[in-house]
Amino acid sequence: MSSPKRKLLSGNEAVARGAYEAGVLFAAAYPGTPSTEILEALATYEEVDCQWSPNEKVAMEVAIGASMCGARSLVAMKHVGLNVASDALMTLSYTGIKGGLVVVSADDPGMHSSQNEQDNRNYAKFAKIPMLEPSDSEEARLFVRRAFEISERFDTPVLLRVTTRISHSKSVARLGVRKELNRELSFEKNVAKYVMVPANARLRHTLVEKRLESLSALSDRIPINRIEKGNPAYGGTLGIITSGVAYQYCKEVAPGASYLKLGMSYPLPVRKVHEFARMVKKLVVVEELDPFLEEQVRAMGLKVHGKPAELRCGELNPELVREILTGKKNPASGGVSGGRPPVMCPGCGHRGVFYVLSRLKVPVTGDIGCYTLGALPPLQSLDTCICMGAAIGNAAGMSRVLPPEKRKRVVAVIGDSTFLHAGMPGLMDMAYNRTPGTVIILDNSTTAMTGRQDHPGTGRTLKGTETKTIDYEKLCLALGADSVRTVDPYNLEDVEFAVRAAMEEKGLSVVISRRQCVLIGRMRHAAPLRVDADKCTRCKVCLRLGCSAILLNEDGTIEIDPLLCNGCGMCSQVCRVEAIL
Amino acid sequence: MRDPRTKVAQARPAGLQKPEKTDIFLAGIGGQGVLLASEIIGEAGLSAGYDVKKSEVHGMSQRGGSVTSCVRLGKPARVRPQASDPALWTARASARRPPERPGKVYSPLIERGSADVLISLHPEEGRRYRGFLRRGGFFLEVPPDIVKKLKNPRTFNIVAVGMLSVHLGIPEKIWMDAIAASVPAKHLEENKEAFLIGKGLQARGGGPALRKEIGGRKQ
Repeated sequence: MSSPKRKLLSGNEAVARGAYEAGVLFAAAYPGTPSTEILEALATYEEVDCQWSPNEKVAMEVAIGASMCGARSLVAMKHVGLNVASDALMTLSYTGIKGGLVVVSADDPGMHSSQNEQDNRNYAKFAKIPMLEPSDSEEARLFVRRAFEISERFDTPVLLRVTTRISHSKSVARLGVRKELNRELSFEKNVAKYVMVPANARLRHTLVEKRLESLSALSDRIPINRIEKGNPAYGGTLGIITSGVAYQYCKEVAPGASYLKLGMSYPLPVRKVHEFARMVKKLVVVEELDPFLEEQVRAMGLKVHGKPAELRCGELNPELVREILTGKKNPASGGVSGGRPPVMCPGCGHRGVFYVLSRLKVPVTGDIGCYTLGALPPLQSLDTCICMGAAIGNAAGMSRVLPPEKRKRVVAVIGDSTFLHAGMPGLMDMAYNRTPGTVIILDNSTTAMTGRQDHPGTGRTLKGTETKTIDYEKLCLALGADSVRTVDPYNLEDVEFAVRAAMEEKGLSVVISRRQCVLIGRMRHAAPLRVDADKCTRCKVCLRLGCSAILLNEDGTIEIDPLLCNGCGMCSQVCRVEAIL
Repeated sequence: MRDPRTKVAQARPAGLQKPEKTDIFLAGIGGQGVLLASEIIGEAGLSAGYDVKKSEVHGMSQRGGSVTSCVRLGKPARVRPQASDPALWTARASARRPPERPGKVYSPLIERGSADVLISLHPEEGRRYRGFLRRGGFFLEVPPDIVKKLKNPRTFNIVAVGMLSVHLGIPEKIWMDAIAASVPAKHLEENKEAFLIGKGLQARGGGPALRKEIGGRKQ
């Protein structure tokens, strides 16, 4: 039987556990798949003060402040979130820390839920900070603890890099006890360390370079960079350098090979790599995404085999690792075809806005969230998606260069959480530069896509306490919008009227579409609707809503699934013959 | 190549009764509780002394899209001989010599053509991922009309767990404890009932629709 001290933890839960055990006092994040559950799990520990921040940059700045007073702090984000926070990170590398500071970057190779699959290991090199990469939950727990020690010993933030398959896989982890540090928290003035004006920063930069040298020496002696010697009689002459989840795939496929398993993958353990290379006949690097390790090993003058260039795209799995190691494809036939695309939930308020936009035939700049699904058939009324907050900036740019008669016809669509994250400066830009346009804020009172997290517009904190709530109407007016209209997206006529009116105005108009996410409390709006088969003319106009509760039978009749239907009533509004009741 | 659909076998396949390593692949759609089912399987496996790894994908898949989850159970015991491929350093090594930690599960993902059990909660999704099943693996499809027998249709996923339980040598008490630890107390009874319904489906031998053995893919 398993002892109570062993638990099945996801990588994210294990990161949180490790932070808790390391005596972390403060953590901040902005939700983002696959990182979200780290803070949700950490918030369950009473001893740790946790918060959602409006965006990753603020989260990091807040964590830096806590660290400056001596508190061990953690900040977590998805890979693209680190782009937002990178401004803080690059200079944090110079100032260093006081209380240990760990930055968790959860990358998403394969883009299960992201707009790109950038390899954030590059940030460790870029910011000249050490990076640890766990390969399962138990390592995640232990590595976080170790990361705090490294952070404090070397006066540096530490990057803990995980990927979707680490974050969202569960494996057996042990539960340790919390190390209470009982430090006296205070801020001590230290201008040379914390005030990064050029004169100070120049001095700090030289320290950063020296720190990197000591870290390189650490990398050579740290036990999490280990050589696992295989028996030469059983394939041990093959040497595999790997880290993270790729290690697990390799062990699965090539249990007999020799390994240089990198727990600390930046800076690289140069001596160990050379030692390992001497031990084996053939040296292979197995890593996901960029040839990050491969290039560095090559730069050491070693002959090394990497992976085919096409495998720089997408995530690895045991099958692809087998291919890298043997050059042979898995003979298992029948790959996975297609896959059911995600859809907006029945009763989702976004649907009403996108249905109206699909009829207006205007360019719609989009953003990151559930509403990005508005780009999919049948609604197909979202035309761009770049990054958090981009909808408004993109719309502004279009409006600047389009001929005057088309300017007001550019519509930006952005969610509430995304607007607060990075959309406000865009709106300010439009107001300041007198760029005409229409901005629709889809306010579902939550950060829906990542699993319904609170934000400054919801009135609740991560710890579950009540708090102030943003007033979007006042906020938009304060930022310089000429008009603000608020509509209920369940009322299609109202939405169409408001959007058309907003587009006809000269200046900068904001429309707030307000309807709570249907997944909050899993509430049903009203009794499920049904189709009156006698009245239905099978015109299929209701199918244009793209609601998964509306089913088209093989004989052409329309049916509504009473289990799925939320009773929002949009379909009965679009039905021309009043057949949906 | 032989017809991938072999006859329905009445006897349990010997390989699944006391397996050293069992790979279970679950396929369904968002909202069906695929992840909760895999959670319970993982917890039960851990309690029964297996090494467990489980993977899943959150995010987009929560919105009615395809949802899959892999649960891999490894019994720390004698290592079963693995398929040997002379071209592999690798498999050649493992065929002759036990890996350093017998029964340890490494990859959280299951390779195509190697799942011992494929649990299908949705016919279309079950078909889509059938390539993950190994030759001679078990295809367990929860009959969609079983919903009518359930007090709460949302316990459909637990029926799958009950069906699977027949094929793993894990005692019923462990399953029940795992369910109790994973579902809200007020829904516990209906979930336990769903488990027993699933178990009943399999224990009786079931019909071809309830219980199929399908030849997986050549490894």
